[in-house]
Amino acid sequence: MTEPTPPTPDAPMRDVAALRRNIASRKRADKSFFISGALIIFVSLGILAVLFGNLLSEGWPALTQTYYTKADKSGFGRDDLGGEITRVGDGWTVQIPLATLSDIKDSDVSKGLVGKKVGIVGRLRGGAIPQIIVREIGLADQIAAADITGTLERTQTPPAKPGDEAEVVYNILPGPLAVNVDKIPAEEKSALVSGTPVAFKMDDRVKEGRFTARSVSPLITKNFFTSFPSRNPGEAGILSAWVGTLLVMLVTMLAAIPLGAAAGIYLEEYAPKNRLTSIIEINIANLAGVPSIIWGLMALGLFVYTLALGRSVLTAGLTLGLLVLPIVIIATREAIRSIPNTIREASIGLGATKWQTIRYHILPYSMPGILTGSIIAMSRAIGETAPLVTIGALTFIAFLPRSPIPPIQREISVEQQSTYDLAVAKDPSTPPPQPQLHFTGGEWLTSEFTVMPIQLFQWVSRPQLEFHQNAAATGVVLLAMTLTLNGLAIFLRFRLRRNLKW
Amino acid sequence: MSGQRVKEFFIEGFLFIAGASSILITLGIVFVLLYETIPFFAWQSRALHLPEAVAGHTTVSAVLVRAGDEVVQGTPILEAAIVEDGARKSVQLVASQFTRINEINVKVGDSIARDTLVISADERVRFTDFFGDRLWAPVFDIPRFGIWSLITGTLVTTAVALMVAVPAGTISAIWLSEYCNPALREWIKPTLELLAAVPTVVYGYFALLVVTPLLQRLFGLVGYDLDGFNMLSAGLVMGIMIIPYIASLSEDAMRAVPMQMREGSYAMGATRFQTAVRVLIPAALSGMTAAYILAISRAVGETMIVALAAGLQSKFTLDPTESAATISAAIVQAVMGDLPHESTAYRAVFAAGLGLMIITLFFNIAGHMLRKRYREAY
Repeated sequence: MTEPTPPTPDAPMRDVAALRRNIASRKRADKSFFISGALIIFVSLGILAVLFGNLLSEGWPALTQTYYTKADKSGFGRDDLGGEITRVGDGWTVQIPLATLSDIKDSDVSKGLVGKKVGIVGRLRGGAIPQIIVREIGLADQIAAADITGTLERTQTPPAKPGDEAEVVYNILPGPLAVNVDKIPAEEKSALVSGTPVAFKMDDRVKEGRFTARSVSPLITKNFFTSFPSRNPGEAGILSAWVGTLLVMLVTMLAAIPLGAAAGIYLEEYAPKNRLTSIIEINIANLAGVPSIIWGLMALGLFVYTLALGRSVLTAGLTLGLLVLPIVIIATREAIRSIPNTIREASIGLGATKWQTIRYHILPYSMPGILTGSIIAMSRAIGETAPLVTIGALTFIAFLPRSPIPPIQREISVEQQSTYDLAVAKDPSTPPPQPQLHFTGGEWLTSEFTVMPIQLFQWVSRPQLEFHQNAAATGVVLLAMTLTLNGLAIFLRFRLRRNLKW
Repeated sequence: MSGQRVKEFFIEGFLFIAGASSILITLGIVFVLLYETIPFFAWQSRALHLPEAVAGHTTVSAVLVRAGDEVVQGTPILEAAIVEDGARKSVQLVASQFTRINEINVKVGDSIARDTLVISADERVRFTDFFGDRLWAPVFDIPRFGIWSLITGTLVTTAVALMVAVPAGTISAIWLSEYCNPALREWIKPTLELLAAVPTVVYGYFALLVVTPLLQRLFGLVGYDLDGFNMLSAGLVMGIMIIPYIASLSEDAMRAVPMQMREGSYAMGATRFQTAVRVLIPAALSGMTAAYILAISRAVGETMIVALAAGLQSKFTLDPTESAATISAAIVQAVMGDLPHESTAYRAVFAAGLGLMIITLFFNIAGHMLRKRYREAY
């Protein structure tokens, strides 16, 4: 951009054309900046949309699939063959990806089969390109009980270095491969429709009639939410994870909101303007910037080992509670600060004490602001992963903690029973002990747990694509929760601004 | 009335404790980090109980130290002396780092006594190893504690993130504060802030499974084979994450610039762009710098994105296309395995954490002070 030359008094507007050019170029610069700014903002927002869309499309199968399985599921997961089922007359064929055959010796016999329709009895190893470990191979009509038939293909990769052997691979050509689906029990067959993706067990257990088919429903099914994590990605769900998240959030809320609100009230209403107060203020600003992993280390050293709380729901909840405490404090302070002094003066003028003023005026007016801050804090806490990984929550959890709603039971305790047993041995006429009330409500606090972000982390870290689907589905749920909480907070803030006019 | 006063007193006391709890929390963090870091660095002495060999001798020296497969003469044994503990005599060795030693031969008078050390929970690490070594591998057989490899990882991912976030965030801020109409801004700003609300583990997923394959394809076009874990993808995604931090804080700083300054500039015939670049940015500079600094602090401490997408193995490199661990990723990597409490590896994690804490604290305080300054300016 060129600087405009100031017109000198001697030659006013001597070069009008140059000035016009200058103005035009400055306007162009302005306009192009406007466009680039708008572009950047919309690209940023677009990335958010892409992120959500990608999670949704990747995670959709995990959210919608249902597994039909026979009773015995043991060992399932590694040997299955996935494809899409099509009804052909009375039978079924399955479109499966190109399968590589392992364990075929490059002999004259196998070379003779190339290009012919062959039948194979074998065991399938999963993966992006399934590998079939061949037990028996021959011309299709010679192998009666073939698991799979198709055309045999031989490829030879030239050696990487001179002197190495050429690598020979046998493949089954892609295409509709007839799988012997007659082994499917009738009641499960009825659940299948053309176009349903299915998974088969391909080892000889198929012949015993064990069969697993996966069907995808058009709507979200509850399976993903009601299943525990599993070795088999298709059956794995986030039951323990979402229950854990709810319980940890409960502790976090109970820890962060009262403490944060109290600290905020103190700093705004009571704190004298002195050194201590300013130290507290700077300190809170710094705490808000402490990386989350440091909170995890603090929890590991303090809660897990020094206070011996273990790797429990309580430890996790307290850690996240402290982590989001600055958010609650800052929100509370802002909410209180926006209340005009006239309210306080009016209350004190009527003879109310300081606490009465706070209790009956300041708190009710600042409540929406505190609430908004608390919601934002919870949405932050829900997605925190690093501190929980640090306290060692990265374990396989396939159980639920005891319910936090105390089940009140009338039970005879072990001690009562043993005392009674001893007494009866001496005096058979001893009356049996009365059942006493038992509260088992607190046990969940010390239980081990997993939460959704950790489940997501574990699934992303695994190599299998199916686990990545589960991870994406967990991401959808997690993101939906976070965005809902944030949306709620934004909505509340809008409402607040509209309704409150001092 | 006095009952009310007592009640008020206790309430005020409780509220004060709540307010002061933040200091207790900070002290807790610092205490935990120091509690584990100090013994990590402290020198240690280890007594070899060799009563028969020691009997009747007064001089002692370490003659052979085997660390791993290599024989180290002299160092790292700093001192060797005979200690009498009641009737029992033992050889006291002061070493900087027992971690690497698995065999020591001690010469007592004329005879040579031998002790094979097992890696114990009492090993200590030298400052020179911490700052001199170029590899971080606390759980190796012969552990290495070079923090620099983690610092380079942190540096590279942060730099990549800033290269995305600083231009994008600044331009967004100018656009939002100067170009956007206020009604639209009310919508765009909170929506943009959602980018910062997305859980970082979701971003990690995004970096590893969406951005990395995309980059691999792009790099493939020019014939470069990009690693499945690389700092570039982690840094880019982290940059997207911190855009709202920069945009939001810079925008606040720009809006704090008084209207008269803008009006003066417009009256001189400047365009909005010229006003933004020559008037607003200089006026809002301290606030914008605060935004950048807080964004740096955020990027330095970010964990899940780098742990998932940049890899967990430390590497001394400044090449963003390689995989390397950051400080935070190294902590995650270490705690994911089952670390025995009070082992050197366990303490190493805290030492790394203390380093991270000091770095972010520095940036946070700087950012806080700058923000205070721009608030006072107008």
